[in-house]
Amino acid sequence: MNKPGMPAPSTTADLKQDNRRYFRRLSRYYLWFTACLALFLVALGILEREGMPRQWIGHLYMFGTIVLYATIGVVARTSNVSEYYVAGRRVPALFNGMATAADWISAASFISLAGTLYLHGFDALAYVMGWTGGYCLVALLIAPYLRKFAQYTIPDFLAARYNGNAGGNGSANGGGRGTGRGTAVRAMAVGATIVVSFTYVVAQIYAVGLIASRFTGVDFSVGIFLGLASILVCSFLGGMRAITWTQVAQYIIILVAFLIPTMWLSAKFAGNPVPQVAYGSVLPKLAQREAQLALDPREQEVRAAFRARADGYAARIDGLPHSWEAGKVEAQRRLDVARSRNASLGEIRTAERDLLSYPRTADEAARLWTEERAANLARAQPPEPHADPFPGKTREESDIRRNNFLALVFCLMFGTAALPHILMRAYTTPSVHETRVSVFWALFFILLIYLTMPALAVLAKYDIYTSLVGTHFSSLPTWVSYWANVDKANPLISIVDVNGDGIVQLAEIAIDGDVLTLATPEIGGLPYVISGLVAAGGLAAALSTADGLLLAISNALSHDIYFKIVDPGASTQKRVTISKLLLLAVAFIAAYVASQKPADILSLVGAAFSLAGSTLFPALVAGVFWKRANHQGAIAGMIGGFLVCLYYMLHTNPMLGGSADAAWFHIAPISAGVFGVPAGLAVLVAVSLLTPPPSNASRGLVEHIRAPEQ
Amino acid sequence: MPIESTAAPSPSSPDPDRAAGAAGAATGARIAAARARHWARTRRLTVILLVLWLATWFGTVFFARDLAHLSVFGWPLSFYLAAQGSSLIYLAIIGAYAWRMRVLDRRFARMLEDAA
Repeated sequence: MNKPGMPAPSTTADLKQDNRRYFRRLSRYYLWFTACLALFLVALGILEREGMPRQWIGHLYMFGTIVLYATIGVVARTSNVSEYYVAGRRVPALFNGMATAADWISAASFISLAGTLYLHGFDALAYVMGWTGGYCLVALLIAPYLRKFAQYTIPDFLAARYNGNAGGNGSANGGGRGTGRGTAVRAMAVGATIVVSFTYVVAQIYAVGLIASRFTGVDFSVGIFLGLASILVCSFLGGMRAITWTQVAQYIIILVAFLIPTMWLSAKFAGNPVPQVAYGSVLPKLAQREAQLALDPREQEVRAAFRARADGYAARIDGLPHSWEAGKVEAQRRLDVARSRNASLGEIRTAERDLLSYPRTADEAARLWTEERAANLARAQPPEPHADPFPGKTREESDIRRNNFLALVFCLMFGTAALPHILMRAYTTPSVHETRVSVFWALFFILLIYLTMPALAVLAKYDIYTSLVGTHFSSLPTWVSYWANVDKANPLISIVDVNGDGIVQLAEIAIDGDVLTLATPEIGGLPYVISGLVAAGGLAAALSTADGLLLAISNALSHDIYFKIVDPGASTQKRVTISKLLLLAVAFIAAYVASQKPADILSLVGAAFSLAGSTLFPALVAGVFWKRANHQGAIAGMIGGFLVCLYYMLHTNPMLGGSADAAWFHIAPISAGVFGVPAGLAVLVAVSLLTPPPSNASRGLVEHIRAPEQ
Repeated sequence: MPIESTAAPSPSSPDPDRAAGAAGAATGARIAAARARHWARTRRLTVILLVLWLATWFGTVFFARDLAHLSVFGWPLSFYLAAQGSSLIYLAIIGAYAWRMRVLDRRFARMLEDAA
């Protein structure tokens, strides 16, 4: 990659020329890389036709890509402070944009977003709108000013701005008093960074384990530690510099892996290989088919069957606790009958399993049956029209859905603009102008994927609604049985003949959102090489995001806590070493947490956006745009935003012990930031106005970051 | 280029162009004025683009039901805006900002040269 001993250019013109030369060299490397990737795909395709087993292809992808990332990590290793924390501040805008895009596209967006769009139609577009709109806030309000500030982390900025003494020369201005206050802001910003990034990184590592175990057959925890190894080699050796160059490679893999199967599907169903354009013609056909299925008598039969099951659960819930005892006796009796009449082993096993999984207490039964009832009721609903915004029985119901959509978009945008691992990337470009351009490229590369997602959802939905629905159970396509058997405990797709007519009805299909992207190549009838590529893309998405997050956490700990608070006299060598050790520790803790399969943490990832937005966004923006904002205001604003957001989540999320009835204006708990961000901002303004104005040094810093570069 | 960690931007120490001494006092005032003008323009641009950004997403969602009956190239307008249109407008906003800020920065640099 880049040689460490680059001569320092003396003038601006030299610097520019140097940057250009560097850019050309990087472009050449990555073009070569793309060509090699294409060759690798072709070679694997040929091998597959020659009869190489699927298992091997999966292994080749998994180990091939991990070795690739590790190699980049080793080549780009460094122990220079500036290289380790901010990649030497010379990543060209285009590549910084690509790396940001890879940082951004997490396992959740690569694997689950298309499925979410498939399942929820218009409502899920909130994710597309919110996750892209946040970049406007990043570009206009935060990133250029962070670059002008030119330090290392987000807490750095907050501490300098709300302290009145920037960087290490504390004695020159502000004195001991100021340092103490800056430390408080810094410590809180570090806390927010860790809370937000840690939930997120656990979800990424979890996804790595899932993909690895599904595609190579290794154990889930082995998959986690394999992924961890590649993350570590990369970020451990080279910090920001290594992960930047790895992320660019990962972005290329993500893009290729996502576009090839989607373009294929698009050419197949719409006769046009550009999915973003093509699916417009499929939408009206899909709407027609939906209307037809809503009225189909056989569909109604299946839906009636589900409604009857839901009513059965309702009756049992009403009859508690007697129904629970009766059910237990009945289950025991059925097992006895099966044993006494020497039924087949399978029947006895089923009866045993029924008895074992029977709720142990009446309370557990109430909870379980309520869930079952809700699930069956959901399946008794006719399909919602995919492209209709906010369908509802009454205007009020529809309004609630619209308001929730708005709230979710709001939270995702403000959360995006406050995610430390994304903002950190503003520091790595050569100039403020390049930072502005790099945000443009970041959104451009994200949109290449995100504008394709809704297309994939519509195309896959059309295929499933027209060709899978109506086929005979004896002739189900192979991808259905393959994906139904991948994870036996939680089948990704299950089709059960509910009304016993031997033909697949839409209401009989239960599909997990996660399967859609992974199964796209098989739905389109592509060879297994492409399926493996998609899995490699998912792996790249998870690893790249995990890299960025781990670095954000370990930098916050090593730079902000260790260097700035514990031991300001530490040598640069020591700082980098400490940083690497902390990275190792955090990575292992995250992997350990992920290997416990914590369902609660995974469901909290969406909440990370609300928390990030409520806690960090007001302080960041007021730091640039409002000179009067002072340290008391910042501290109060961060605490206020965080508490309001947390309170709302705890208060309304049933999984956290709240109740959905307590919601304000019917806003879902995931959108708690819609209250947290304004609350944080209001508290910041109020407290700042009630306390003395900030020192001259703070004002000077604001003047400095606002001033244009020369 | 790598900036040494302790070499933080030191806002309290006077900028070189401001500390030009007695002879440069007038120049210093002109530079301060140029900076103020640059910041005013930056702020105005930011506000305009933020209003556009807000109108894009809020308008798309708030009026989605009313726009659903219109259609562009087969898409219902509200679906198109939510799935593609608004994201492309965001991209245009960021592009316009980067381009316009470069113009403003260059104008500022020219003003400095004139002042010197």
